[in-house]
Amino acid sequence: MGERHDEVVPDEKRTPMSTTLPRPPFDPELEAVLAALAEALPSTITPEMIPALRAPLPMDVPVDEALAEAKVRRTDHTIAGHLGDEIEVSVLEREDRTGTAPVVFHTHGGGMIMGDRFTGLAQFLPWVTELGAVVVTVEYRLAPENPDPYPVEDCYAGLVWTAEHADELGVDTSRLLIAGASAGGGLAAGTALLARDRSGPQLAGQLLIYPMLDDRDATVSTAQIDGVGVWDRTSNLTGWTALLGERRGTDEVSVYAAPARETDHTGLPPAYIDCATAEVFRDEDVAYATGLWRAGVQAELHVWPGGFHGCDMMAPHTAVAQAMVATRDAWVAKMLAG
Amino acid sequence: MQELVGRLSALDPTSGDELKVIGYFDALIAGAAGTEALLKGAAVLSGTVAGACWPGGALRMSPEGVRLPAGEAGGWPSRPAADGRVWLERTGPAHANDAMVLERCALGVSIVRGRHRERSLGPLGVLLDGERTPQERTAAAARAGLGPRVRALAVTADRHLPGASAVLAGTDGPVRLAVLHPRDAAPAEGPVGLGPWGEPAQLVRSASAARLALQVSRATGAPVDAEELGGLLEAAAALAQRTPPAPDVAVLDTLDERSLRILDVLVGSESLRAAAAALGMHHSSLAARRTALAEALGYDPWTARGRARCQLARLAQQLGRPG
Repeated sequence: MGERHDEVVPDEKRTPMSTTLPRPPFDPELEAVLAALAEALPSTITPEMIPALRAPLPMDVPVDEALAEAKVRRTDHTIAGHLGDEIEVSVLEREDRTGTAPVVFHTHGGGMIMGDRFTGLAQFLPWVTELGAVVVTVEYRLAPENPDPYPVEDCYAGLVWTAEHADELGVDTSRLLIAGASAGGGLAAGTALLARDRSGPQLAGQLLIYPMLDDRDATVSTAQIDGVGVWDRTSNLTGWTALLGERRGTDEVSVYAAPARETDHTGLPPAYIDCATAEVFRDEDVAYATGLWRAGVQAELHVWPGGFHGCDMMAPHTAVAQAMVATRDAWVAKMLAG
Repeated sequence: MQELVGRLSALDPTSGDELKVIGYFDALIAGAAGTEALLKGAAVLSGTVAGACWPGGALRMSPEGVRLPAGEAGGWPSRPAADGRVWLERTGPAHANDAMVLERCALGVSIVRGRHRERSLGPLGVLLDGERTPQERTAAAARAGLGPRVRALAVTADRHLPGASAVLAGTDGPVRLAVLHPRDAAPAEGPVGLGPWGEPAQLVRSASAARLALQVSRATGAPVDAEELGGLLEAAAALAQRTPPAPDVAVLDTLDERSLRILDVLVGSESLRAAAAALGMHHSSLAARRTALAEALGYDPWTARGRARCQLARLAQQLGRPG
C-alpha cells in the first residue's frame, strides 16, 4: 500500500504540491496501521475540517475516569492568560503524594487548532503515576480564533503561574521541566525562549516531542510527507496559517511563534527532542538540536526510523512506539530525579 | 488524537472492516515483519491476547504490545500456521473479525516460518527439501554452484562433514545430508548412505535413496551405495512399509544374528566353498546349515529367484530396523 508517490506522472501534469521525492519507508508495523486507518485518519487536514476535528471523539475514555483509575487528583485553577484574560490550568498529582515533587509544565498538541489540555494524556500521565511528578497542563487558546501570540503567551502565563505558586503546589522549581508534543512541542520551545528572554522562570529542561517549529514550509521532510502519513505538508500549512494568517512564511513571524527562526540558542535549558524519519517535522527538529549544540546547550536527539508523526500515541503497541516512549521517559525520569 | 487500540479493536465487519484487517496484515507481510509484529497485530485488531507456537518456540502478545509468558493453544480458537499454530485468547463469544484476524495472522506466521526454514537450511536445504518447487530448486542449485552431475550423501546427524551440509528431519529421524560431485570422495567409514547420480534437479530423489542406504548401512556397518542397489532398494523400501511385516521379512526376524550372518555370506558368495572360507567354517558343516536355513525360510535361497527374494527381504528387514 501507500506507494502513491511512485505512480508515473508526466512532468507537465505534476502540480507544485505533489511530489515524487523518495522518503524513508514506514516501519512495517506502522505501515500496517496506516493501511487499516486510511479512512479514519486522513493524511491531509484542510481548514474546513477544523470544526469537525474539534468534536469530541465518541470512543475517548473520559479524562476523569482515566485519572480516577490511575489514582490521580485533578485540581483546576483559573488564571490570568495573555492580556489578563482568564484561562484554565489543571494540576495533576498522585492522590497519595507527600512532600515536595518535581514539576512538569505541559503544553498540549493539536496543530495549534485543536485538542485540549488533556490531549496526550497517555504521554504525561505516567510522569505523575510512575515518576511522582506534578503536571500542570494549560488550556491555551486555539487558532484561528485566537491567533499568535495568544497560544504561546497563554502558555508562558501558565508557566509563570506555576513557578509563582510553587510553594502552594508543593513543587520544587529547581526541577521544573516544560514538555509538549507536536504543536505543544513548538509552544514549549517558544515558551522556553520567552522564559530565557524575560529572565524567568528558570527551566531545568525542555522536552520537545516531535515539535512543530517552522512555519516556512521549506524543508525536505515537509516535501517528502505530502499526502502521506500523519499530519502531512498541507495539514501543517493549515495549522500555521490558522496561527499566523497572512504573516506565515514572512519576516513578520517571531521566534516565539516559530522557534525554528531562532539563530541564537544561547542560554536555553537542556533539551530532549524526538521525531520520526517519515514526518514533516524531522528536518526542523534535527536543525533545532543542531542549533542548541552549536550554542553549547546540551541536547539529546532521537530520530526514530520508520515512524510517522505521533506514532507513539496512535500505535502504542508497535516496536517503534515502545522504544520511543521508553527512551523519552528515561530522560524525563533522569531530569526529574534532579 | 484518538489512540489506535480503541479504533482498531472496534472495527465493524459490516462496513468493509474486514478489508482493513486484510490491509493491516498485507502491509506486515509486505514489510517482512516478524512473528511478534504479526501477533501484536492480531491482538490489537481483536482486543485480546494472541499467541503462536512452533517447534522449539512460542510467543504471546497483549493488545498493548507487551510480551507475555509463553503458553499453548489449548482450547482457544486457533489455526495451523506451517509447522506451528496461532490462536486468539477470546473468552466469551467470538468477535466479528476474529476468524479473519486468525486467518491472516496464520498466513503471515506461515510465511515467517518458511523464511526461517530457508535461512536455517541455506541453498543445500532447499535442494534437498522435497516440498520445494522445481524452480526454487533450480535457483538454489545455481546459488550453490553445483555441476551437472551430483549425488546425495547421508550420514548420521551428529557426524561432521567437510564442506556444506544440512541436517534434515524425516520419518527416519534427523540425518546430515551433503551433495557430492564426481571429484568428491565419500567417507569410507560407515554408516554412510550414497544416493544415485543425477542432475541437481533430481537431488531430492537421490537424497531419499541415500537416506535409505544410510539405514541399511546402520545395520551392516559398511557404506551402502544406492547406485549399486538400484530398484532393489526402492522395492525393499516398499516392502519394509508393510504392516504386519511381509512374511519373507517376518521369517528373517525369527533368525539369530549368527544365522543371518551365514545367510548373508551364502547369498553373496559365488560358491559354497568361497562362503565357507569367508566364514571360517568347514564346507560340510556349512552345507548342513544351508539346508536348515532353507527349511526355516520356506524357500531355497540358492536358486536365482530364491537369492533375489532373500536379498530383498533382508534389505527390507534392515530398513525396518530403528536406526
